Amino acid sequence: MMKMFIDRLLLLALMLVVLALVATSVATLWGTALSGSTLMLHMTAGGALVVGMPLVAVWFLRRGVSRQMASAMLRCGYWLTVLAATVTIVTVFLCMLPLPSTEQMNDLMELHGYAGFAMVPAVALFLLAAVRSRRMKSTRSATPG
Amino acid sequence: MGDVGSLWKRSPSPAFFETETAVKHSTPVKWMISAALLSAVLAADLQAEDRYHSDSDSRYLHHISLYDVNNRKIQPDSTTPYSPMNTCGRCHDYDSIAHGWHFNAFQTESVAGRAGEPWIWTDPKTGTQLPLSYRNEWKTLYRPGEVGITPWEMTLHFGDRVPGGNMGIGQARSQPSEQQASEQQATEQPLAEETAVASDPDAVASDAAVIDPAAGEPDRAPLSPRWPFTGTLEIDCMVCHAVSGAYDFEQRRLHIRQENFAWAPTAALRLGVVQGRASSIKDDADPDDDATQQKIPQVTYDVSRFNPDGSVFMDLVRKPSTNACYQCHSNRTVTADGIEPRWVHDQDVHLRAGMDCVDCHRNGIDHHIVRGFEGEDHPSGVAVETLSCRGCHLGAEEGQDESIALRPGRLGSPRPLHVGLPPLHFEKLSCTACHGGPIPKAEAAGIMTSLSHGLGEKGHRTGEELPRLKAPVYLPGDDGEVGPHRAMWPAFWGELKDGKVTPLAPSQVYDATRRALRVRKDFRDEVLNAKLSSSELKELLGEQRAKLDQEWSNQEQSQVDVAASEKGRQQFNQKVYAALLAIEDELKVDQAVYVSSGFVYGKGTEEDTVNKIEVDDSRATSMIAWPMAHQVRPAGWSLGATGCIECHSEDGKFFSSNVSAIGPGPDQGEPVTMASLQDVDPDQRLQWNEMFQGRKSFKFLVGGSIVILLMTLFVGIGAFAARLGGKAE
Repeated sequence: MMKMFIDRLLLLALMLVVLALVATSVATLWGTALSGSTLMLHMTAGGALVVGMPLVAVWFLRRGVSRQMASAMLRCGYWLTVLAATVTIVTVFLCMLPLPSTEQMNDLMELHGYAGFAMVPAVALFLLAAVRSRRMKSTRSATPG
Repeated sequence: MGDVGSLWKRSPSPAFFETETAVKHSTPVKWMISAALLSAVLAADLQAEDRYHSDSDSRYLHHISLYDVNNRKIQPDSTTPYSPMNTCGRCHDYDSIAHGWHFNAFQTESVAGRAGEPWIWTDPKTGTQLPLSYRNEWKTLYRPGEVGITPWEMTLHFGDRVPGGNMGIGQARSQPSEQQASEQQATEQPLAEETAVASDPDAVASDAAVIDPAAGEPDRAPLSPRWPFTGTLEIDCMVCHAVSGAYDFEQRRLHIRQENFAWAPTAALRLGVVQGRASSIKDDADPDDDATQQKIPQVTYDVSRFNPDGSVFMDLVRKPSTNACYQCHSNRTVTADGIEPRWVHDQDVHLRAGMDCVDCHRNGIDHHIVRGFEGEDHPSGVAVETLSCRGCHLGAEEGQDESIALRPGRLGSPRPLHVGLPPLHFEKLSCTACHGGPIPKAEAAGIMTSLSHGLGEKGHRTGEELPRLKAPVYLPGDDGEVGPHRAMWPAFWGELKDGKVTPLAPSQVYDATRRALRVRKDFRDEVLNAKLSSSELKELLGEQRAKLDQEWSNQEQSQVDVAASEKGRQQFNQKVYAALLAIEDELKVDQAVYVSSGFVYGKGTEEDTVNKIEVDDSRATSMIAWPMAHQVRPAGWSLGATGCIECHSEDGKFFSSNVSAIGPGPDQGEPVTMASLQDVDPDQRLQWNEMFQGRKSFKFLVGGSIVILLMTLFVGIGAFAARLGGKAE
């Protein structure tokens, strides 16, 4: 019961954070730079992702590697989410260090954008698979014999 | 133009073929008419393709003959000044040059481009600092004609701060005496008209436009009767092109101030001694009168300057030296301790690197100097992108033409990495925001400039002279990028009508208020900075202590300061009340007001009182600002070089530095932070500051997060590899 609750909590949080990140950065698709309160919200949501993503990654890790515990769709969604999130966070982390030049930062930010937006289908797949596996489990447990 | 030449040949007038003796006794009016005609002839006869050019990078030695305004060769015993237009203009395209950036300041039709420093009409006696410009696109400034200032007055006031520019040619043409006008009407008038078109269509048109009262536009002022006596202030090529040390600016200033406009180039080159001053000739003097002729300045040439063949060596260079630019483009920072000494300041980093101003601010024969701001559209059509900061150091923007000429690194400029600086800064800030202008402090400093304060002239400056300017003020420019600006607040006497304040002509204001204000030199010093009399001091401190001004305690000093300030305020009220009354009476103004530091003062209901009036007229009361670029500081001295919190913190000067409206009046504006001038929400700024305070810890958090995620990925890769291995077995 507790495990299911944590599952739902983490997935809900992941979904909300990714939605917030997408909503605050969608203007960049039209070439507008993030700034002001939008950037502030984006960075706040980004902070939540930085904290929350390792939790999600560790919590779902066993299902991610076990064929018995999770469907291929769930495993695929999980790994794509972890991969996209890692690239997203690493690119922004590098920009925080006094290492890359402005030009390199521009490249990193571009990569950050691609990886960030790639999280949307990855998280969607992950959530969909999680919902489906929950339904299947509940169907199995409700079916006698 | 060719027609003009033929016209001239068809209708020769004896006036233009005078012997030198005759010229000596001719009126300056005739000089001007002749000059205009002859410049047209030169222009007509010497088309650009006909001119000789050396086509070498080497210096061309100018052993040349000098010519006066009548195009007569100057001999060692001549008494007329040399004319740069007729001397230099023989070989160089004076017409094209006259459109250049430095010479079109008095032309209404000239391209304005990015806002620049206005001409600030300053009169310390009446507490006036009025920003003016003939450039129509700079809309927040007043047009000189609009406030009753004639081109002649502008020339007298600011002529020593520009290298000339055809000031007066149109007026001199329009100002023959009645007798001459009737005598010459048949033959000369058509010539003069043609000349006006031929010599410099825009320059003359603009000058004429400014002075033509029949044109019915607001930017008009009456003709000045002074031009025939003072001559024109031609473009003086040697101001910039003389070798360092050959041109005496002090002489130029002196003679322009003495209204010897046409004599200034000769005096400044020290080709001879100029005696006499045109300022001693009254407005209504008859130019043909012998007494008037006696007052016309005369030149005694230095015979040793003439070669045996009558030529003179003009020691000049093609590329003006930085020293020449400094004559009109110096500035000094003023702090609470006064004018900052030169030795504490470094020069612009580019000059330290061995460059000259003209390496970036370059020009062709059109003399349209590249100003160097981003997005500059050069009239020549030549791409000048890489002569701006960004263009030179970073190259043309992505997606633009990537030809060699648009690549970064021009003149060997280093390509900055801006390590750790988020790209957002390049969208929000100009390069100069971090690299240009005086180092920002808690409060914007005072600034004195050559154009506004006549730096270069010897004098006793304290730093508090009008106009009061402030810098750096970090404001968004026309392109939206925030950068350092210089700023000032208009101060003037005007008329309040329908909620708008219109400045009154400064000369009329001076005449009307002279008795009421009784200021000898400085309005602020003599009206506001009042000193207590000995009886007032005795009353305040007692008889014993009043005498011991060197031994006053802090408390006593502060008592004296408060009393002096109150007395100054009282004097201000009395004198300004009387001055406003005098203006209303003499200038027939319904409601006269005095504007300073954004406040509008009108007469109070009781005698000797003034009230502040709320007026919604931003042109009169708002800050006037224009972007600045130099001095450029190197990377290590740029803002943010030590990290984000240099700006993103509570005391980050880029946002927290403040500026107050300042002027000659008694009230100064409330301090306003740069953040509010940039329209930055204070709460949001606070949040950002807090965010940047915790940035270091956040980096560790992000680093930890990345480590966990990478480990997760390694586990996944390991599991995947194991599965593949299992399948293979």
